[in-house]
Amino acid sequence: MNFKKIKNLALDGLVKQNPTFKLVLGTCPTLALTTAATSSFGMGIAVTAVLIFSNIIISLLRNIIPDKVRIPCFIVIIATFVTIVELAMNKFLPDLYDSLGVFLPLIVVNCLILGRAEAFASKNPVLDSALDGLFMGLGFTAALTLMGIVRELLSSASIFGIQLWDPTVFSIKFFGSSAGAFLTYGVFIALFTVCYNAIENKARRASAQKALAKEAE
Amino acid sequence: MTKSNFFLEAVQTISVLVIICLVCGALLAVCNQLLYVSDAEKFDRAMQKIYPDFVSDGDHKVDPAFQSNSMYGNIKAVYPSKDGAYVIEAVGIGGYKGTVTLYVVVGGDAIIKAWTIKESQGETLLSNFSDKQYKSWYVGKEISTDFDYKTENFYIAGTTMTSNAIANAVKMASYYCMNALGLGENPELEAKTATLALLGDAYSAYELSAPIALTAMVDASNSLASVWSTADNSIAYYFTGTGDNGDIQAFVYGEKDNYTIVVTSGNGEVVAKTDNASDDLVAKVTAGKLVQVAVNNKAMFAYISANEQGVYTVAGIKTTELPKTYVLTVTVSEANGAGVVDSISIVTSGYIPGGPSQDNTDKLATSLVGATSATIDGIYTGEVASGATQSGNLITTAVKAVLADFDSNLANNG
Repeated sequence: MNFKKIKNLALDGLVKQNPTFKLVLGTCPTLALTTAATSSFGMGIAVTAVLIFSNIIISLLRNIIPDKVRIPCFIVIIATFVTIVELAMNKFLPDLYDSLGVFLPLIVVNCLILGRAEAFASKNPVLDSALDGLFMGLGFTAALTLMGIVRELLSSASIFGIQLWDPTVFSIKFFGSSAGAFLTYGVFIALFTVCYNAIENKARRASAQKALAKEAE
Repeated sequence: MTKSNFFLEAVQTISVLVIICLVCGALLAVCNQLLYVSDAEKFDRAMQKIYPDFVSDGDHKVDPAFQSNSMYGNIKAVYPSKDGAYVIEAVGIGGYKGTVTLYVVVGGDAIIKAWTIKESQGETLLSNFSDKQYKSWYVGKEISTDFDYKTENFYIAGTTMTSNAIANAVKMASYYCMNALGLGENPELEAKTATLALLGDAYSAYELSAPIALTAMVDASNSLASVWSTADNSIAYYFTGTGDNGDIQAFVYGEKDNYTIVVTSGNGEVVAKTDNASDDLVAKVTAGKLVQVAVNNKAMFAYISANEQGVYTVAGIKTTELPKTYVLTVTVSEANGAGVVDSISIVTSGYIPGGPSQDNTDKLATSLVGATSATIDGIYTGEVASGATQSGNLITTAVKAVLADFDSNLANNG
């Protein structure tokens, strides 16, 4: 695998097809768990681990799994890894396990994971699938953590549990609520889209100018 | 596709799915074995979080006499600490889709030092709140079975049922500490002891029931506690007991060191009373009768307020939010040595507008005409209107209580 391919996969997962801000996948944990940066980061890492391992196994078995039962097979494989992540988190990170609550087992039905299994891992080789899982997971983790930081800062005046100032002096509790989650999510999608379009237009203009310059020569 | 190709493909498809399931199952079994969190580990984690001073002081065998209580829940384990505190693993009933299990730390001075949730059946909104928002509830208070989570504001809107189960678990832990470990004040035990002392040697073998929550039993005139209270006295405890001298009901008024007690027999006669029991109070407790019957395997209560020559006024008592109490007039006559229901009329309907058709609910009452103690359960099962189970339970409770009372009087009077 060449560097360009890895770069493309990384750009796809982190920016071009960012699962949270671009594809709007996995919205349930995005809205519910971003009240704190720690739980957002924890959920992102859990999803990344499941994505990587399920993509690897699905890619390995892609020529064996019959087309008619591919979805049940994917679900069984994904559920297995989610359960393993759940068991490991309960054993080694009990506080995080408690804070993620029901959303941890619900990773099984996260459409991001099933979506990548169906759209990518079942059609591509193992290494590509693993990298796709890694970068998609990192994109998801980055988006969740960013939202978690902003919401925690505004609603509790802290980041990753570290108190920055007295919340009674200034805090907006609204951002800790469900409605605050929707508003934050909407603002982030808008900002992401504006920035993404600006960069893409700039790149498009640059390549058009390059092409014109070439023609002029 | 030929038949054999179809068969081959089906076998292949199923085999792949089965093999994947088996491999995943085996993998999970191995992981579960490796990553299992034992109860001891869970306990250590909880103590690290809520009571780091805990140092185990041997084992404590849970006293079976106080291990469970129908109002609060039960005790799973008790862990004594070297500093004199106890960690009680208590299960509270009445939660959202199940029970809530807590570790409650009670100091040797009977003060609740800390608590944490060990497990909660059914996902609850409470998990969305941080520890800071609710772990201070009950902490610093003396153990008690009278905690009211609503008046003390020990609940979060949207988690009322879980907060109720938490309150019950704390009460269960308190109940065990007071009765089995001898911590704190125990007014209930003192009331029971005073009642048995009043009854004397003839009743020494009697064991009184746990107090029945009269405040939760709402009849047509508000609550049974108010029915049995006078202008000067509020009822504190109501116990029942049974033994060689027949059933008894004990009404305990007032507070420690100054109890006013009236004990009546199953047929409403005064068995014993303290000197300070006024005629007004005695008249109150003998005017009506609380009868416990089993309906659909549930312990239900009815209050018989009048019985004049087989014409009973009886209330099926509300113990849950819905429906309201039913008050019936039931006429009973004797046939073949047992009471038979001649007529039933509904004085106060517990029907809730918006529930199933009131006609259907009222049919439950008329369907019980002709019933005897021996046949009433069968009639009820056959005639219950779908969606009116609670109303049916209350009506049946009232009629069963009347038949039981009539049969008892018949037996006593020969």
